Amino acid sequence: MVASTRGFGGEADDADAKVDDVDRRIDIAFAAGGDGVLKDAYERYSSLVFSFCRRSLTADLAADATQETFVSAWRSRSTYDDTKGSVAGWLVGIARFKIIEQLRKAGRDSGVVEVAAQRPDHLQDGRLEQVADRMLVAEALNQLPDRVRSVVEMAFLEDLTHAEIAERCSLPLGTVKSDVRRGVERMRRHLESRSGVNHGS
Amino acid sequence: MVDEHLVAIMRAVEDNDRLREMPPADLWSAIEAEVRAESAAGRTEPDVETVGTRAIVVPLRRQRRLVTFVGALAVAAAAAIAIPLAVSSRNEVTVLAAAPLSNEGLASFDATPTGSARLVSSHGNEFLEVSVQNVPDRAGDHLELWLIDTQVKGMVSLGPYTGNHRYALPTGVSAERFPIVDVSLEPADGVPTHSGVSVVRGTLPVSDRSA
Repeated sequence: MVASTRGFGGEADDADAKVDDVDRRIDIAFAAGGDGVLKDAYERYSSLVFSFCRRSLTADLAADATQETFVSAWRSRSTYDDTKGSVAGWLVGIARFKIIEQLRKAGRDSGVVEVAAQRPDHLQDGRLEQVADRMLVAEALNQLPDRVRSVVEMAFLEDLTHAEIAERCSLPLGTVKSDVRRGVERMRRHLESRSGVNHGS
Repeated sequence: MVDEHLVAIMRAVEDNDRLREMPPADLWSAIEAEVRAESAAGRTEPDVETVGTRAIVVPLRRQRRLVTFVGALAVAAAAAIAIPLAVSSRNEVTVLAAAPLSNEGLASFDATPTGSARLVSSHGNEFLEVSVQNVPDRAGDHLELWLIDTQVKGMVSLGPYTGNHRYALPTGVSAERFPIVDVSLEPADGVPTHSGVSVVRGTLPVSDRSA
């Protein structure tokens, strides 16, 4: 996708501002409370939460875990702090507990063992944490406008310098730097609130 | 400057991690019903205990820290949540007027938005209780609540519509003077005026005492 026109930059900036706005709006609104915010969060992040649950659970159990995640998020909404990270990461952190519960329940109910790999809990938990991290990073990248995502990927996956990216994409150096910063910030917000659920910090 | 942990995760992302599967279509109504039932039952404790209780049976290495954290949070959260509930549980709310909100004659959306508004008085202050269903999902846009006069010339913003709850009328603003309740779709463009795109609208049956 290498862009060679300058006009491209302005559009992506606008698009990014809008996306940022929606996600930040959900984060801030969730911290403020109210019924409608749960639905907003559900509409935006239910596919992320459900897909995360599906990595370890059958469709039925994943639906149960997703339901429990959102109900639990609503009950605990006063503990969510939007300055500590995103709602997306926070939900995935809660979902991790709900998946473990479902796995344990399924393990107890002899006969019903159509769940994913039955491994010791601490291994299962470690694996879940890695899946959560990867899915949240993928989510963050996916939310970014194409140009910003490409710049971030060139910087971190292809190890290009900012100057090299600027030249390759015909973008001002300052734009490349701000794209990288934006992308990193988005990923960090998702990961920070995810770990906030576990570490309690 | 480069966060190595982050880069390591980025490099580890697999195609699988990008796949998104939609939950069953009826899942939201199940969640909504559960949340409503609990609200009606007056449940006041946040769910951190649930997480904590279960964390005790799950042999995580961070168990002790988590429990301590959860205990502290539960106290803080219960304190934070107790205040609004105490206020709303008092039966000192008088309904002054109510009106359905409709999308008729307004911008059209995939699912027709509907809603309702109630003007209530509580402890000498007036509030608008607004509920909107089938809220349009437009990425980047938000909803804003307005009171408009019958000539549709003067209008007052009550701020962003953030869900089905209570919105205070600014001092000096009366529903008699601005009886039309309007919820608009606003782009995040920094322009403070009404976008002209109304989602739902309705008129509160209040007579103009000042006329």
